[in-house]
Amino acid sequence: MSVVKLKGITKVYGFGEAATLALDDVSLEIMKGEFVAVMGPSGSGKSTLMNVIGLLDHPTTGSYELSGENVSSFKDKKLAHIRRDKIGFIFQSFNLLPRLSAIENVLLPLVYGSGKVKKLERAAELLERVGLKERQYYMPNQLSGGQVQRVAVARALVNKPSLILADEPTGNLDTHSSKDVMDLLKEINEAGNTIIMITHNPALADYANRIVYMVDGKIVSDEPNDNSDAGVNITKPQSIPKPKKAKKKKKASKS
Amino acid sequence: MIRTNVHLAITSLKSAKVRAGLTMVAVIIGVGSFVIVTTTIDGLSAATEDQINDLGGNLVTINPGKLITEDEDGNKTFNFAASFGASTLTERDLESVSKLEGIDAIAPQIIISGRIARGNNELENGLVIATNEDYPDAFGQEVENGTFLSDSTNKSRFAVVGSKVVEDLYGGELSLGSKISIRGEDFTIIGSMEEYESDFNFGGVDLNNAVLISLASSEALTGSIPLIQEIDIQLADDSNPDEVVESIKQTLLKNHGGEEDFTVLKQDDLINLTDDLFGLIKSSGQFLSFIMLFVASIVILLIMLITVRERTREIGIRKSIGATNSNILIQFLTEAIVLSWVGSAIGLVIGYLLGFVLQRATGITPVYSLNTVITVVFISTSVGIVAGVIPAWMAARKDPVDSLRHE
Repeated sequence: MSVVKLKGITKVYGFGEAATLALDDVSLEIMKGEFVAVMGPSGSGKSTLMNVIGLLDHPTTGSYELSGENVSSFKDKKLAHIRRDKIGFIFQSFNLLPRLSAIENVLLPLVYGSGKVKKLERAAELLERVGLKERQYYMPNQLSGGQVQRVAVARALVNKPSLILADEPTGNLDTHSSKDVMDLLKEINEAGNTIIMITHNPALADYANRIVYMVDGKIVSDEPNDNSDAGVNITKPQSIPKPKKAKKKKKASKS
Repeated sequence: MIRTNVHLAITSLKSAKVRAGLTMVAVIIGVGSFVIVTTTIDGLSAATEDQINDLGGNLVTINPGKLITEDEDGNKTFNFAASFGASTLTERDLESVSKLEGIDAIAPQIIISGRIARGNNELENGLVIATNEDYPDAFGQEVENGTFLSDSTNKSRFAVVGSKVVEDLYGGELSLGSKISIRGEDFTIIGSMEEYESDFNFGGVDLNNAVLISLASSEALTGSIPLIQEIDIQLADDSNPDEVVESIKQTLLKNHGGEEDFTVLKQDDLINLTDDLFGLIKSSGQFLSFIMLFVASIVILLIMLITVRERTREIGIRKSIGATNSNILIQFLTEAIVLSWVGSAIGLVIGYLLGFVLQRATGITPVYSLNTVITVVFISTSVGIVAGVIPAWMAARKDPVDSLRHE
């Protein structure tokens, strides 16, 4: 079952002479349970792609199905509700609210929902899962970078999303914390969550079971990661099953 | 959801205490002044009404000048300036009105300025009133000691003094026959009045501080026939006030050759008049408070604009995890309203406390009513909405991608 299905997505910023083509006819399908790394040089359109997939930005043209639902034409309010219910974000700069404690930050997505979930219990359970049970009431500035990012992971998971988007999740972390966070993401993926991660670091991409390369707004390569257990500098992950539905989507690839 | 938002607002206000405190100063001053103006003027008005009621239920006054004009719809307007004109009331008016039916007592009031003293002791804020023998009945005030002036045509220099004069000049122990000096002339005190119960006096006329003399002796004192500033009439119990007032008007019109240059007022009219007058003063005071509150709105508005700008990233984060535009709008609007509420609550308390201070200083008892509190709640919510709606709308409209990039 596909979680994300992009068809002919383009994104143009600016007008006329100054117009930049950030995404150029991108088509991509991501299945449930995949861990996809999106790589590419700065300005290649990775972030724009993430923003479009995360429904933070509207594509200029093209269609987008999220969990089988065509969301291309949805209005802001509906998009906010989908972000709340189906998408979890993990950012390079963590993006916790500094005035809220760890558990309040994790709770935040649930505050905007109306469901009768046992919110506090759910948040506490997730903090336990990321190994921060003892620090629930710490403020973000009392936690280390790695701990803050684990809180952010818990926040991304709290609404049981069908898709987790991680934008350079270890970009601001030291190698040790990076390993912690990546192991956590791997674990979450193995529990059945779909993850799309932007990264510059080939070592991190090796955690993924599929790697998408972008250049100039185009997907130039999209391959299953056969090397996914090589674990360069950072870690040696346990053997990961190769993608079962290895989809050879090479139509955009020229290399 | 409301509770969450209010809680959220309090959390973010707490995180910027100094800023929130300074922002609230304008609201505090506005609401404080509103409370002071409202409660004090209500107190002043109530005290004046009490004083009018103290005069007995059947008082009618005649004043020079046409103080009240009535338009076709029966709306009365008070023309304050008319009271500054020279008096046209004469002793002849007094005489002809006293002959009418339904009148129990009729006394003129002629205020004569001049130094009042006993030896070298001068009476502060003293007042000489020339009147006639009906004065005690007209005002419902009794002679406590001795006798009252027996005849207004008696030129003998007799005086009757108020209770405060006894206290200030004679140490509370007055022996009848003592002398009192008015404009350098010695008068013999033949009586003193009981204390006139009022904790407050309107226009500086404190009857307890008055020295009463006869019309005839005042004429001798000032060398001319003094103008009558007011005629006070006590109606008979069985009379119809409206009829008597009408006949007084007709009599005076005849005396004045058809010119209505006087005003006849019943006690009800007096109360209405003071209500009108104090209402006017209150509205002007409140109007000033409203201007201050408008300024307070602008202050909150500006601070909220800065806050929204500073918290752009927070807005981006909230939107990325599922906050809708209206979630954000409500969050910032609530913050502005809570800011205004807290400031108003402080202003209310300060206004209340200042009322006590003012009561100590002036003797005016402020009147606190539920209405004032309800008005303050209403005002502060409006101030919050006026101040918050534009910044909140700007916050809600922010683009999530740009906001997340904001440093």
